[in-house]
Amino acid sequence: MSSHRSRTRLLTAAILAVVALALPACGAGGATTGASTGQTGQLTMIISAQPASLDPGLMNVDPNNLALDQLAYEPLIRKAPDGTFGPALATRFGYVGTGNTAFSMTLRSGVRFADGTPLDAAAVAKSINYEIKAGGPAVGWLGGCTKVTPVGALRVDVACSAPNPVLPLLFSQNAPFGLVISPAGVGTPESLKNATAGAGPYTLDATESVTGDHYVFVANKNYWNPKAVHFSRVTLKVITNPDSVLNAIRSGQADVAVGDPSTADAAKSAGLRVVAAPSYTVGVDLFDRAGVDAKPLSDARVRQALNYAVDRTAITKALFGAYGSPTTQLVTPAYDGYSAALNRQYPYDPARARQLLAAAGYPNGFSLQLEAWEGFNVAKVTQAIAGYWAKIGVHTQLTQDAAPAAWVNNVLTKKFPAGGFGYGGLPVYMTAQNWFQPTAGPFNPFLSQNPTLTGLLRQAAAATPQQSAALGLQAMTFALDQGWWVSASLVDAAYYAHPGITGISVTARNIYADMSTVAQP
Amino acid sequence: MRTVLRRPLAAAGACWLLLVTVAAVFATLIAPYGSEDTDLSVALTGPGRAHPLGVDPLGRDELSRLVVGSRVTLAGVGIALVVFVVVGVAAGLVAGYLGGRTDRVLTRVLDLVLAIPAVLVLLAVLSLAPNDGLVPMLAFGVLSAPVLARVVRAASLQVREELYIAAARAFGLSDVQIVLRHVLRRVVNPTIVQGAIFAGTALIVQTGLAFLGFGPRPPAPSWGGSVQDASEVINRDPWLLYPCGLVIALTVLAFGLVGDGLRDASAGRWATERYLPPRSRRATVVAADATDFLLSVRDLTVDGPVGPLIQDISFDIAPGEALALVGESGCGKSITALATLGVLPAGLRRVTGTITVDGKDVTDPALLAAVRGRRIGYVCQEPMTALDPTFTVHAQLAEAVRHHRRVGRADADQIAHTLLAQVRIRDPLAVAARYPHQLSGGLAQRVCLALALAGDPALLVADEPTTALDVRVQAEILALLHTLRRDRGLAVLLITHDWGVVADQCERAIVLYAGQIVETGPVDDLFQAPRHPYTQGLLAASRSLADPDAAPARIGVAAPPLVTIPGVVPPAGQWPTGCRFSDRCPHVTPECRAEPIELRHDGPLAARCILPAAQPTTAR
Amino acid sequence: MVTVIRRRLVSSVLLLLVVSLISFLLISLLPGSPAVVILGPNAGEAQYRALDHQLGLDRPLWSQYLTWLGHAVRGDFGASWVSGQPIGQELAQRLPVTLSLVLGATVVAALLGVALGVQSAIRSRSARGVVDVISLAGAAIPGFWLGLVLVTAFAVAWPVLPATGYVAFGAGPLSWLRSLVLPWVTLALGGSALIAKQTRDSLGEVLSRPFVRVYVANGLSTRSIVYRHALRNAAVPILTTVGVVFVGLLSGSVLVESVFALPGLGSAAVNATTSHDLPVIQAFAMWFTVLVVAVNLLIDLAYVWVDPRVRIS
Repeated sequence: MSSHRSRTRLLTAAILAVVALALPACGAGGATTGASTGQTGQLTMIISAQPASLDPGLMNVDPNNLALDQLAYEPLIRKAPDGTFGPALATRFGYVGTGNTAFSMTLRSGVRFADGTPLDAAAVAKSINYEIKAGGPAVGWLGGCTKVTPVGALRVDVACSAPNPVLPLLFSQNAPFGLVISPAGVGTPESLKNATAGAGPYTLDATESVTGDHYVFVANKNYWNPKAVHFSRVTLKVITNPDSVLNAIRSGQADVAVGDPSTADAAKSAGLRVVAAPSYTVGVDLFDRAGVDAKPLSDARVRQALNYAVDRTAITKALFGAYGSPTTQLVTPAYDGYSAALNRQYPYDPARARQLLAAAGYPNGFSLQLEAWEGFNVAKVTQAIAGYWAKIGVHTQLTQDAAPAAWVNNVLTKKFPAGGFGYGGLPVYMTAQNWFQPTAGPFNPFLSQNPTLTGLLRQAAAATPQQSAALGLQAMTFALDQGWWVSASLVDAAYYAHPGITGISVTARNIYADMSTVAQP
Repeated sequence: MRTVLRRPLAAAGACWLLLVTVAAVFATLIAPYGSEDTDLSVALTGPGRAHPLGVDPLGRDELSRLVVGSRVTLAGVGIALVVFVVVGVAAGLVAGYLGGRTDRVLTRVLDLVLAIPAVLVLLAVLSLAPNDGLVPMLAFGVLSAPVLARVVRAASLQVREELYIAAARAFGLSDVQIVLRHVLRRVVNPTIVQGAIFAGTALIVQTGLAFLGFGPRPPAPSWGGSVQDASEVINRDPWLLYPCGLVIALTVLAFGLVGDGLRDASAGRWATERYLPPRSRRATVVAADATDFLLSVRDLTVDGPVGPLIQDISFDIAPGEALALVGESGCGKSITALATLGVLPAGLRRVTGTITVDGKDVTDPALLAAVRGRRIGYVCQEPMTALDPTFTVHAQLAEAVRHHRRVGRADADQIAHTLLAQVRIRDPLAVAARYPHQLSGGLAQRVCLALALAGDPALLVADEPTTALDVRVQAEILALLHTLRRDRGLAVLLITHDWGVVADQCERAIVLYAGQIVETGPVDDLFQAPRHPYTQGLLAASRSLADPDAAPARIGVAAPPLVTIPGVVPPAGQWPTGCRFSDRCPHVTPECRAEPIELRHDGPLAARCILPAAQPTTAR
Repeated sequence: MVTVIRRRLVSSVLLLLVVSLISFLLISLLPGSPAVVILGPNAGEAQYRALDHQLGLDRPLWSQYLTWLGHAVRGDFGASWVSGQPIGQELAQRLPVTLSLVLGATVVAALLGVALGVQSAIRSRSARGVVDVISLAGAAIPGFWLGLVLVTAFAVAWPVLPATGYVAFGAGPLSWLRSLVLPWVTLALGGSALIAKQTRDSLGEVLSRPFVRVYVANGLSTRSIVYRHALRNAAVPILTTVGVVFVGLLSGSVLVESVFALPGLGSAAVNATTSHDLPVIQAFAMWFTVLVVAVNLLIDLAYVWVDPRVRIS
């Protein structure tokens, strides 16, 4: 019947329409530079987890949160890929005298915030003081360096009650305290959660952004160095599943992405540029070293047993392949305090582990509550470690959090005696502040400390670089022996980019890509 | 239950569910590996002999994870199902059995609960305790229970009205006892059906929540959790996506199949007559016999489910002629008309016969479709249901006009109004704007006539066009029919059991009995000297209804005493071999029953009777 | 007609009140104080108490509810406990995504379902068997899994459509369409099965009505009879099913948004669920319910449009 035939025709037309709809994608997918770049000067970048906060005072230091904040907040000091420090908003900076207790920065003149107000010493001091008071996860790094005062219009002095050798890093683009917030922003901290108030190359377009999903930045017309503004518009899109990240950048939905070791090979064979360097350690942090909630953890033999129980080589090979190496340590190879020899400290030896457990009075093992963030393979490594622990009778239950804010909150409320971590790319001093000093933070929530360790670290902080290296190694060796954590793998930070995007660099000495150099010539 | 298992699909579903349940119960015995045992050296190595369903990213055996994961998954479904059944049955029974105020209030509450999107409550519950596997499924059971409650309520309302409950009450059983003994038994079947369907939904919800990370805490396995794990390695090991997805899909499917099987077993299959003509290949036009007849039907036989309904019906209608098809209900009058038009209900089939219109063979359905409406119009018995209730009179008429006459919208409107005027509707504009449910029966039949005339046909098939109308309106419609014949030269095939109408309207008549033509001829001759005892009986009955002194009979005014033919028309499939009227015939002889009787021509009449011609009529 | 609409309005308001009450009471069910969730565990007792006061948590429950309801009616659901951003504004940004997803998928499900249902009603037994199989499969395949399979097929193995993400309509209608094709199909399949079944049953019933025979006998075209007349007569139960499907797809969107990384209401609700961000859950519940109510009203109006008997009586 004719009506039947015309229905068939309609159906055919509909199918053709769908195919036609799909076809332009072949073109876009085939083109190398992705959908949003090119003539329009736009950049789309995928970040792999929700940022903890847009507010530098509350941010988590990770590639995602940093990418977001570096776009809008100009740093005082710029850390180069080789690990050296150079000028940014501060044209001159350095320690005053010896002992690492006083620091001074001289600011560039004539710089304005995005809102047009001048950037001067008073504003910088106000910003740093706010970031200290906000109490974000990084605040422990300052140690006693909390006295920040403006001197004249362009000089800022920092005075410390205890030695701190890492202040240049803390005032760089890779730490909250280097990212300068305008007085208006500091005056209304609530506004910093959904708007930016910096002097960086871009400002957030809040109306186009959806918190937790995507963030749109537009060029800052008041930026002091217009040459460094490479795009008229930068979009950061959050995709947490690493496979989805790869699929998205591969299909041309983005130009750059924070990658993952699990997909790096696939990215390479898809024609993407993979920029990677060993940068952070993943493992399980045994928070409750005093055994407040989990009695067994107070015994060093138990903690060592947990270390012996884990086959780091197998975990690393299975989860990270060529983009990881087994490690027992917290510090990464580019820094003092690292020693290849220390990686032999806890060989895979389940028999030894059982022996130690039995000696500590737990021949049948025990059970343990764990917590892990899903970002940066932390939860996966935690599960893998837990799998090995199960073989020596230590049974675990894991609570996973997708949002970093939930992870931080869960850990800080001391609900869990142990939990996964991803940590690294930092000098011994900062590592020690996070792990061994009683300053509350997600890596030492039970505020444990050890007098021997504290003593060694205090010496190291005030020492010259040469002395400090030896002292640092001594401290890390001691801590490793205590078994306060169970590291598994040293993992590469990886970024994917379409060819044609330049300025993405990751090295062992600077593990975060500097957003200000990303460009498309 | 046994009937269910006889359906292969439902049986397969039940087997799968049994398998999954057994696997869940004996999970730790069946699983080849510990579900949480990691062997990172084989992670993502795909299916193989050691790991038939592959290995997950942490080196855990996928088969073992699915087997052990079925526990938490099925437990979640089980919890939801128990709550669904308990709450649903309880609420349904209370509402249905107590009735009255309780019923009204409870029904409102159930409707309200049903309107709440379940996902809201699930997320709300989960936001308080994200890894709780129990409470969300419990909540889901409660939120869905109204679906079951409605079904149970309907069933128990029905039981309540039945006698044995009253009897039980008279014996002094308490309400609770009655519910337990009688009502509950009746709601078991619908409960199982609804429960099976709900279980499938609950499984999707449970696995969906686990997929979102609201399942059991890792490393404990669950089906939804396996999908989530697989989603993270789509690029490295796409295989892993399939075992978990298929297990979920198969289990939901199994619930669905079992549910469908149960419902079909208890309700019987959906089956109704449909009037759409069968599809057919395009027909080639057969060369025409030049005849003077407008319509010729030859040897028309229609089969139904139990055998023929009409057999070897042949007749002709000349232009402008009116032919009556007369007989009692069940003789095959309407079937003859519908078969002639090629619009037999589903299940009936024309097996032999040719239909010729204007000398062209249009037996092929496609050719027949082309003459419907344009050469032949059709009016049916029930005007109130003969029109589409969702369109105005005008819209329906104009559509038919446009379709048949290929005219523009404005012309069609014009013609539609003319048609309404032609069927003697006083205010065509007002009637055209009305919907069928706003018309009286007489008005509706006029509209039906207009619709039948929309294609300007030469022949009108009118199937008892006045039967459903009251007496005054009947006369009006018949008068209208008369006028239309006179004004348009319309031929009519009139189906009726009313001899008065035949006398008024028709030149010739065909008397049908049990699917056969028993007598045919000019109406005047039939009235004067009917040959067949059946015709005689019909006429006598008709005349006794009318004023005994008035001849020809006037349209049925009830007046006893009533002369009737004893007995009833034998149903299709139970026709006697010989004369089909033999069982009711006052003049029956043994020869009548011996063999089929041919139609014998005798003067102007032809009758299917072997008796001598001059039989007296039974009345008069 | 007026009674139908009025009855619907009354029950809608009732539904909104019930949902508002449930979502409001959520906070009081939270173990521990909201202040701890907002300020973190390390703030002082005075700070907690000050925040409790600021949030009105020290007032009686009914008074809190009335205040909250008063604000909610104006679209003000307070600020997220996690991001600190006003929730009304954030969800308003996400609403177009969910609407595009769910309305689009409902349209796809309705078209597909009605097409399958019609074929099944007017064709032979074997065609009906095919439709049965598609219906069963559509109901059985979980959407979140189907989405992943579609991504592996059409974004990874044969990359013709984007794997994830959403492009606003304003940023390019074609890109918008392309970003939604896979999510639509994923979401629509299950719903189309339900609609196909309903269409088959109601259309089958209508096709057995006398007027269809009259129409066929008077030579009207099969296409017009099926699609114009029978379908319209069968429309009321089909529309009811479409409404049910819409609510179902709204629920399903929570999963599908997560699979395709779409920034809709559902993904916000999932994030809020994991981080105990109750004000977002409350707002989400109210928005969702408003959507359900709105669609039910639309469907009531559609009844009136397709069936003159509702309109005129």
